[in-house]
Amino acid sequence: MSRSARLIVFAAGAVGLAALMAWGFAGLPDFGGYTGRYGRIVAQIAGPDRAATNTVTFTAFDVRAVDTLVEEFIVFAAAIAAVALLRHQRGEPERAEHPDDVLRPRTSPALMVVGAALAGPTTVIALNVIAHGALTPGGGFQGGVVLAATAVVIVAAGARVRLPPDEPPRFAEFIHGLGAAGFVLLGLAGLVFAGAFLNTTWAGHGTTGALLSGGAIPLLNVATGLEVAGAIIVILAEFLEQNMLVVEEPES
Amino acid sequence: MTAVQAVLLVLVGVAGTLVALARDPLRQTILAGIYGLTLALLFFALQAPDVALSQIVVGGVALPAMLLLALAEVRAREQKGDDE
Amino acid sequence: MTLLAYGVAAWLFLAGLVGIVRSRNLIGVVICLSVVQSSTYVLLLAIGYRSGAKAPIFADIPSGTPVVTLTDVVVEATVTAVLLALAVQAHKRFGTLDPDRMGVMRG
Repeated sequence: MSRSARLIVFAAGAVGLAALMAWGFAGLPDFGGYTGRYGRIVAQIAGPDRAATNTVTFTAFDVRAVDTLVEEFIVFAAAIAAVALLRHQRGEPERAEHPDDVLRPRTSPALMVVGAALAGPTTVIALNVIAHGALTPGGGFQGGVVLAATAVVIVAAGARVRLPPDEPPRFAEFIHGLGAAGFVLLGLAGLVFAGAFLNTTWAGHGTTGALLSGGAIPLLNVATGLEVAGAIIVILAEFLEQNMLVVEEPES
Repeated sequence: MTAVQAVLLVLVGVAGTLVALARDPLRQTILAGIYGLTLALLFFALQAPDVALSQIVVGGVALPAMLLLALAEVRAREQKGDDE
Repeated sequence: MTLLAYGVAAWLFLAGLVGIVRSRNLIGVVICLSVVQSSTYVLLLAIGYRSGAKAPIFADIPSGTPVVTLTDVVVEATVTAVLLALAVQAHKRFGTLDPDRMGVMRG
């Protein structure tokens, strides 16, 4: 099909789609006028029953924990798929000879200083966000991506990294799998100790506002954080064709 | 508050359009990063700080990094192809 | 305000689609797809917004839609990675990122 024909077909379809969306959106509640009962019910259990102050994390890791488990496995599977696709390419001779030639970062001194200064604080923020998931906005998903961003900062700062020739299991992959398995194991712990898969009450409630409160929610957040950070680092490392976690001294 | 939300909604709409209409993938990548950050601001104004937090990092760091690396990969291969 | 919020969501969806159809570069297609996907975030959060309410911390009443959006933002990043890996793979096989030239240059 030629480009212009394609655009005409698309325009016709887009007009229809726009009409359908207008029709559908007309039946939605007015902006700001949401009156669903879901939130009210969740709020009634979150604080009093589970000592979790962040109702979003509470919903994600308690009420809808099975759903989150599936989301986490999408991340897990997507990371593996990306790695499999990219590794398939790397296995071919044109690239395998000089793995060190590829994308070697040429870093300006300013970037090195900023990167070195940022790496520590970013790691602390990531761990802080993961740890306080049940209390304040944050949690495993957010903290996990921040943790992965730390790896980006380190590489951007020009830390010399080495590609170990086929040494499985690499650290990020280990973290990646550990997080995914941890989530399931914590779910099974709920089945064993509290009678339902992903029931979070078995770990005790703790005091509202304390770091360790909200039952198993903090543990699930740690598992998710490891999973997400591992997944993104594995993907980025594969794109870089380097292992970001084996950091060598800069060569002068 | 409504004014802030209105401004941010318009900003997101404009930024999204710019991303979609830009031709050069590298320019699109940079615009996508900016667009991701405006989205994060909007999420914050829509009572979703949790979502804003992950959007900041995903939209501002993770996605652009992946896109840049993919573009670099393609460019490296094209240069290699030119040499031969 | 209702019109603006839902309008921007619909606009982003369509703008992303236009970008996908016009694009001559697979990586551009992936970027436009992420714009399409982000329209769903705007829509979901606009539906769940409650005027006068506080952020859902300390047991104020949330609407539930941020939870759906939250996980999806991170899932989107990894799914985009798969698409990018496919784009890189396609470039390797066909020597181009232009979807129109791909079938022709098989070799």
